[in-house]
Amino acid sequence: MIDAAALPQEQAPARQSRRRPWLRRGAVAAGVLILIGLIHAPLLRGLAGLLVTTPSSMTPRYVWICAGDDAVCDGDRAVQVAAQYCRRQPQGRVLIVDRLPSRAVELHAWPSFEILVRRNLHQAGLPDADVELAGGNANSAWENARRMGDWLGRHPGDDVLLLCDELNSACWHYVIDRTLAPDLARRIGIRPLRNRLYDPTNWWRRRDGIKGVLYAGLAYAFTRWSGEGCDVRPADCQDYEGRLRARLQELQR
Amino acid sequence: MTAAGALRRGRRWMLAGGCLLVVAVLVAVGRPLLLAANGWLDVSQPPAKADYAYVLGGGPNSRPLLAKILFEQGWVSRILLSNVAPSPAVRDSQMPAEHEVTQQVLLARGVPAEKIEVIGHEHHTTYDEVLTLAARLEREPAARVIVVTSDFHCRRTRWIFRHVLGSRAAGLTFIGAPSDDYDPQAWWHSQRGFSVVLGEYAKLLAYQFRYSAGPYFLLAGGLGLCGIWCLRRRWFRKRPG
Repeated sequence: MIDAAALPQEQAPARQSRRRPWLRRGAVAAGVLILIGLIHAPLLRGLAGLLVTTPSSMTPRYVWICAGDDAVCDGDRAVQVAAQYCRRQPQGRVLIVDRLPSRAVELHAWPSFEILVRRNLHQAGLPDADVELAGGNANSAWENARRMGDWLGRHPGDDVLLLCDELNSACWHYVIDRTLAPDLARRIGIRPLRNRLYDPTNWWRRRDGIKGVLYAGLAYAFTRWSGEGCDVRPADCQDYEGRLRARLQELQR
Repeated sequence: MTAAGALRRGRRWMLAGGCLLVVAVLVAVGRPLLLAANGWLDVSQPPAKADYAYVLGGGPNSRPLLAKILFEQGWVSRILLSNVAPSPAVRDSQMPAEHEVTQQVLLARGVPAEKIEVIGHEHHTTYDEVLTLAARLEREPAARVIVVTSDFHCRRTRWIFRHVLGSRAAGLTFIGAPSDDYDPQAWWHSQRGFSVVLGEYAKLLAYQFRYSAGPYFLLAGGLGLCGIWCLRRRWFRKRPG
């Protein structure tokens, strides 16, 4: 063990200056932590803000309701907003891109996305004739964008307003820009819809807000980093049950 | 160059070399590591004869089908369904509640209606579902249950059940239905796989902090070690001799 007193006189200040950086670093770290504590709200709001795109001011004839991951509309109250929009807009119409039927749909335990939206629009007072199917079997946002691109190609004079969840809006914007040619992408406006389950200005205070930001953030990060990726089309009921039997056998071995 | 300068330079080289080594190791074992990250979440056990299969909410396309196979093969005699809280979108639309969908899937696949039972009231989390089963096990302490969930959800489920039920969780078997909307051998190449696996790790961590004191002890220990590291010179210097 080295005793500082036993060191030559000129080495003592050097030791002291080597000790001080730790104090300085500790103070800086404490300062940073206090600062983060003080400004955590704008930081977290800004973080969620990265996932949200600027709402479009377009008011086209067509409004597009898209499917989320759970075979429901992407965007809380999308159906009600679409119905309201069509009532205000002369000759307003709703567009749907149907999603790939899940096993629950295959077994008639859950309505298809198209049927679900049509039923809910009907309930909201919109006649079935004002609803149009733009395409089907979409399994991702990328496939949705492609179907919409095809539809826009067939309807050169029409623009579309996409209704989607606020936290997924930047992702939709990116996917549309990457999938479609610029002249087609420009014809799609985006209106982000707020979720009733949490307040976007303090989303971190609600479990649903944290979950929403987490999953939207992961999806957006993947999309920016990796593009479309390679999602798999799920097996049908019979095939899946075959896989389950095989899995149970495997677990018993 | 002074001796101190040479030492600093040497340390920088060592640091750069260390970083390179870490990157090289990650590149070499990246794929097995990623596969293991997905595999670690699935702690499915071999099926054992039980009274009930308890289907947790969240996977109406896969979990009820696993429960149906367990029923069909005679592993369980009844199926319990979790009553999941409907979202506002479900409440104000003509959408069926999730447990109704799960029930319909079972009925469509030939499970008799009298063998299916919906339990609990508006579960928001897996934790709520465990509390409902705990209440059931209070009434039927000898009941054996197979908990049916998804493969990626299996570890967290097992942790929560063991955390809440303690020794009573010994009579439970956990089986995860395989996810087939992404390739588990390349989950990091699919948006769904990426979100599911990383989201599950985030939830595991959140559950540890929310329901267990372990991470706080770890954090306190880490901070303590940092403190000792910072003060070590001063401490050594003040020691006599």
